Amino acid sequence: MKKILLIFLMVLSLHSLAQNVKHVFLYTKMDAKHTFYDGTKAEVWVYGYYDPATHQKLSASLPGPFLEFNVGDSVIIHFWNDTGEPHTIHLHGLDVDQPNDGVPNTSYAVAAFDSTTYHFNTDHPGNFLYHCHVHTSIHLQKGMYGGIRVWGNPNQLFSGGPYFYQSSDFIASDVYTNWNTDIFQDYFLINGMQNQQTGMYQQDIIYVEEDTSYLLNLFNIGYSITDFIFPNELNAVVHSSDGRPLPSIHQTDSLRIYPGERYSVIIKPSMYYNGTIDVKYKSMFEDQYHHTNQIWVNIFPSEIKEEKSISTIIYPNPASEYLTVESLIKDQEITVFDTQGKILTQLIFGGKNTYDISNWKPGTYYFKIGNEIKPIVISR
Amino acid sequence: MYKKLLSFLLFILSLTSWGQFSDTLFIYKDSADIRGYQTTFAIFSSVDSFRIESYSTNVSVGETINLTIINRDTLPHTFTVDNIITTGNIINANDTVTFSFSFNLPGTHIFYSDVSYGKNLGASGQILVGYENYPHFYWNLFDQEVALSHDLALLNTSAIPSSYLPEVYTINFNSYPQTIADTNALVVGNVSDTLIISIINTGKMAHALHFHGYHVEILFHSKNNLMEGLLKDTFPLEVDAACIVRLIPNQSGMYPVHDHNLFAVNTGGYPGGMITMINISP
Repeated sequence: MKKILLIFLMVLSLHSLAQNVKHVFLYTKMDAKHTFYDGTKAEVWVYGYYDPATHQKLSASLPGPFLEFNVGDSVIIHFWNDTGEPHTIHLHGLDVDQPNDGVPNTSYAVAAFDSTTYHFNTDHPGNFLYHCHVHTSIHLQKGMYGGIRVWGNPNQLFSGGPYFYQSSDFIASDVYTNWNTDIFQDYFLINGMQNQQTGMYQQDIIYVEEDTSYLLNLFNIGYSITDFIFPNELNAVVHSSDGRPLPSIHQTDSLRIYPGERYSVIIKPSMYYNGTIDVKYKSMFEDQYHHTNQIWVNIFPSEIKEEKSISTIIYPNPASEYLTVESLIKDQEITVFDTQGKILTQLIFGGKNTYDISNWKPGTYYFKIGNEIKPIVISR
Repeated sequence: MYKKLLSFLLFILSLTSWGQFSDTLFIYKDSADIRGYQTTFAIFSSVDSFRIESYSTNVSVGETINLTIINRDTLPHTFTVDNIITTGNIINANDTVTFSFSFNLPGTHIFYSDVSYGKNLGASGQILVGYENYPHFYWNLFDQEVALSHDLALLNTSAIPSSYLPEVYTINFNSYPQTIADTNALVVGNVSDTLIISIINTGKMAHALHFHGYHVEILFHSKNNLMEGLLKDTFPLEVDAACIVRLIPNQSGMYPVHDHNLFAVNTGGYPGGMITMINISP
């Protein structure tokens, strides 16, 4: 009998060794502030990471932290609901079992100031989402969502699928800041940003070398239908959706993604292009578009890759008191414009410089560095 | 001798009815309470009275369908199946007409009354062709703006305004939790079963269905053949779209399916509206 028990325990331990256990620590925050492109600050409900050792809350944002796993991972999400209302995490598209589904009616809600763990295995590479499923039409619209990417083989979309060199994730969403169930959203977002904000961060701009495959992971967790418009130069091919390969791939110049859907698209530009992938937002109720955001695309010949990608970095963005500029180019000239196009100042940088902006009025400023224009938001 | 003759007669009779499907439907128009919203419906009812019902049936490829329609409304209606029955299909008030037709390929098809106070008020149903060897379920996605439903019924208007804003979202004209009392809407099966769900959108806007717990294979999609063959957990049904999905559950449990346009899950308070469940036993 003892022997049987030992064998059983050995098999069990071997099984757990075969799986890579990943722990994620998420908390909720219901009084976070999100700054929209026009400087408006609104209260949002969001997820953030916390430190399990100290219970120190790290940054919480809209959308929530982007979670990445590998196929075959055994994931444990430690969820700390540090708010006065019940919340959950629904693992959208991961086909988890009923107890871990995050739906109050069929599994359970995590009560105020309580915590729980969600367990699941990652069986398929692809794009997934997580969001609160308590009164979803309010909790989700208030910002309780984030993206999940499950990776397969390194730099391969799925087993037997295409390879890619780099990738970016773009989560489309929208919000109505009066936070009721009105159908008309007033902000339309890509990774939480809109209009000039979408080009602010290096990681949200696609820099891709000619004839190089680049993976775009596209998500829609908003209320609007989103149309991603691909310029012909990008040779966009749709390969998978909802974490499953398409039976037949297809090249496209536009891809409609409905609320809750996800797609993976590989672009392989064959020529120089400097422009945008437009993301158009259309109401489910009306046959008209309400907004267009841009994803910035910069296709370059291989020999100038390094210069284009890391020549100048400006941070933080949004900024408050100080702005730091790091430039690899000596005596880099930067011209600063306001939203009307009026030149405000010209700066000369080289190396790393910190600039006092405490007397600048809050708003959006455009920094022209060579041929590039970077929008920077000053907010206090 | 008489016995033998009678047996032979019955045998001949059974041969002639083989490959035939016959039923009678009644068109009724009345109002019903959907989670606190008093809404006007026009219904193809399988009984001779008004009741909330989305008629559905399953036939074989090539099987002759004989549907007798009795119009109990005070206005004329049509019996329309796109590309199959589009002319000579008016049924006047209190009239009775029988339509005979068949389908040559597997698929699912919407039939409807093509008048402003017909399909817009729910006068529709579905015919699933093929897949008769599997358990099948039927979902008719329908949305309704309450005031508009009354105006359409009273002939105050015949058009859907661009400001259309429905309050009522239904599956088979029921809103959750009533949907799970509907044996067509509640999907029931066992792990590893092959379950067929026939879905139509007869509403006035697109809906994006999200399945919890499972991916389903889209076998047929009348509006977008690029969707066919895809394994999806979320997919759209555009206005007037019909599709068939195959679910082979790999785990047991109770899982929701709902429109991920989250305004559609608030009918009469959350959770309510375009939501149903999949209940899978081990």
